[in-house]
Amino acid sequence: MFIILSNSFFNKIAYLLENYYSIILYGLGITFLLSIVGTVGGFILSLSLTEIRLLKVDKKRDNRSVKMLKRSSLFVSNSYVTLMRGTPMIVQSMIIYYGIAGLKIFPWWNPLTAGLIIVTFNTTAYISEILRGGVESINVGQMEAGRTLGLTKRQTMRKIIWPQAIKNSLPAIGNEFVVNLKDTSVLSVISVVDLFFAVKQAAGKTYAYVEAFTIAAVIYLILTVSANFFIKHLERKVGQVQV
Amino acid sequence: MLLNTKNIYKSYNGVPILKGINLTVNEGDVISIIGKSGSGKTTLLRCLNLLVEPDNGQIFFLDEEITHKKANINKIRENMGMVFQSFNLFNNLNVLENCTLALQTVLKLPKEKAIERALYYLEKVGMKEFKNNNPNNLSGGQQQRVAIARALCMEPKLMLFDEPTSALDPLLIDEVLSVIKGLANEGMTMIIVTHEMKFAYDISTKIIFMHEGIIAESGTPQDIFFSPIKKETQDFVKLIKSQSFI
Repeated sequence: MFIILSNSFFNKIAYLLENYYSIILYGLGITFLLSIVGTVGGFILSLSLTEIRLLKVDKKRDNRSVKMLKRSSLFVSNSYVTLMRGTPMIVQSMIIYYGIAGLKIFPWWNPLTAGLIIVTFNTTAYISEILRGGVESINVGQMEAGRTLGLTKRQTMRKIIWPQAIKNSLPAIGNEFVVNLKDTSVLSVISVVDLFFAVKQAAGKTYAYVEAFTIAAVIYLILTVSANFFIKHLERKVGQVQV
Repeated sequence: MLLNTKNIYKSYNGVPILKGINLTVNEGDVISIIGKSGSGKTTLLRCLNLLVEPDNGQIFFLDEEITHKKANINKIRENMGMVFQSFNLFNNLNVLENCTLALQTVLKLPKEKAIERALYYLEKVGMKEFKNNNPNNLSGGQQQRVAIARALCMEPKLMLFDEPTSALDPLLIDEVLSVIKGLANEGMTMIIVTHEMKFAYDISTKIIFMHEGIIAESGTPQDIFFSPIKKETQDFVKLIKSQSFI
């Protein structure tokens, strides 16, 4: 299927948009889905993960098995974060996708499912690091005030510390969403049909690489700029950040 | 006897802060702890509700050893209010919610009852009209009065004040001190770490002078300020008088 293209740059772009808009739109939808699921899912999972990473061993009051349990949870959760943040997502994708596909026990296993899981697990580690910083930045006096009123550590965390820490972390979490919009493009390595993959296919068929990826660049830019705009709006609505 | 400590020791990184504190607090006592910075006043106060865990020694409160490792600290703290130097109001809650949180979460009071009680104590400290304010929109003195109301809401048996006016603008100190004075007059048992000597002299039933991690001398305000026995106390009192605080 050889098509004679016009030589002009803009004509090629118009041609690509005209003939490949459906797959590009599909890819755009997948990129958006991956970023939303990854950021929201990652945020929810990171709350539990961060709770675990913030455990403190009470030398006097914890009995031996509680101490053991806390220490091993700390080790596992911190190792998870080190592993996820310390290796590229593109490498994680290869291992997880082909690793699980090779087991041949999940017939429903496909690139998109793998992609959603990978981006979620990856984002969990990054947001956990943001939230840990957020919790640690809250003045220790807030916890002390809660404790002196008879609240347990857990109650004080839930009612006082977490709401403030999450609010202060919102800009950074929003930034993770923007990062995900762009970085999910690496999932094309396991054939997730995201925006990057869709544009690459269009480019491959027409040999109009520069034009096709210019389209991709413009779409990515529109996505990130509008995401930033939305996040700014959200921050204003939630109110001034307080420490 | 409400509270009693036996030989409290505490050190930080090998530096001893408290070197054997024996303290008895009876119901109705108003005890001021005075002394130089670094003498261990605040550490002692924070040991009493276990915000600081003593290295050694025992603390008894309401006939229970609270330093025992099986003691229920949360239950104990319900009966021991604390007011901090830096107020520590909950920044994510308004004035009223600051007061009702523990009533609903810890005492499990129904919402209306909690609000009723909170408003009663807010009125007492003159902050009822600010009930919907955010703590950050209040002056230091107002914040501290809310913090006092928040602690009073739990109707504790003992109140601990940790330099309640040290972070305040001089013009705002009096409004807080007069609230504390009012409580003392009502018979609230309290321990106050303070640098306000005139105030300590006026309201205390007993003054404790701390020096280098021990209780160097204790007695009535009259004893401590006008006929101190120990050399350290005499020097301290002389210094204060030379600054004409009394």
